[in-house]
Amino acid sequence: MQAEGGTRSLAEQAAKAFTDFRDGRPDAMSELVDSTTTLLWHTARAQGLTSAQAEDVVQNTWMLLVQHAAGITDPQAVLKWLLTTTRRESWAVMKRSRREDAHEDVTELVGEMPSTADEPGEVVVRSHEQGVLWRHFKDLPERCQQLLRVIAIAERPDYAQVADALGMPVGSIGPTRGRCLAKLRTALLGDPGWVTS
Amino acid sequence: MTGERDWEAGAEGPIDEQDLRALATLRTIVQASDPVPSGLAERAKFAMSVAALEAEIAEITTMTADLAGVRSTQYDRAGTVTFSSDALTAMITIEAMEGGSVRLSGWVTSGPTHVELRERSRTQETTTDDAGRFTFSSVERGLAHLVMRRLDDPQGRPVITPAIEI
Repeated sequence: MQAEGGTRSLAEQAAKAFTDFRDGRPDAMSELVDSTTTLLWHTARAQGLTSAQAEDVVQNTWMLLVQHAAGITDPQAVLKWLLTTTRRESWAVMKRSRREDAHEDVTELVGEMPSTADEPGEVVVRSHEQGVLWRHFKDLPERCQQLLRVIAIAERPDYAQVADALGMPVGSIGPTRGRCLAKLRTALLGDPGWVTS
Repeated sequence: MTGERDWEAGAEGPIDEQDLRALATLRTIVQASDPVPSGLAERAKFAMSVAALEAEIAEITTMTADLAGVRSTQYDRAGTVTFSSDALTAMITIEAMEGGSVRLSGWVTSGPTHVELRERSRTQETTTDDAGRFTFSSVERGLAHLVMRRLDDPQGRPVITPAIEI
């Protein structure tokens, strides 16, 4: 389920599994689902979906991959395809649920998307260090919260691809720190509670 | 007190230990606060099988009384289970054999039927005999699906069962 040694990027693992699948090894798709569903889940949740909505979106994303497998010519792009599809499907769900909430203005969803569907009481903070981190994290702009929440789940070699799939500008994160992480870092380093814990 | 400019300059810098510590801490919080629902990956795989096959999903209609209580998730721990769909009805029995292997035998009400057992890491197939019976004598523990295709109706949609826990 996890990468052996943990050094290979998820994008590479996904590319290999997808290639194997297309070469006639159906269980390779199962490995792809095992290795990637966690990242898709957090991508959907970071867009502000409820648990039930996020579950539907993740399942739909996988079904769309089956239906579009023939159209994906570059296996290296599979992870990005999955993340992009998850984000796009999440938007569609948000748009529908907003319309159901009788909101008229859905023209610009991107900027106003809530960063998380979590109620504050549901956040599990188990240490002083985590408490300090969470406080500064919640002070970040919402787009930064969306990005870093997913980045935190991703492996480092995948940062740039994840950010790109989430619609962040090039250079948002990886190989450089980027603005969101820089803001968080500056806030943390200015907090004695972080420096000493 | 740090100025506004500090972080802007920092944005161009390489990711360092403090960044990784912040992300690792955030990861711990996110994973604890918002765990991936158990079984989501398995449900996704089932959805994918159905999408790939354009299959009809059979419903579980009955299962043995001692097993009904453990139907805790969308999956069903098997003993004897009956499935039905528009195209056919099937009953399967799962028995633990000596030496830890598991035997799955079944019976399909319609005519001759091709039966595929999709286990986690392999697929076995067989065809029903004249009495509509089929057997897989060595089955892995874990989740499995049956995919059934009526041989007397080659144009018909295949029928897939929900995952059963073996």
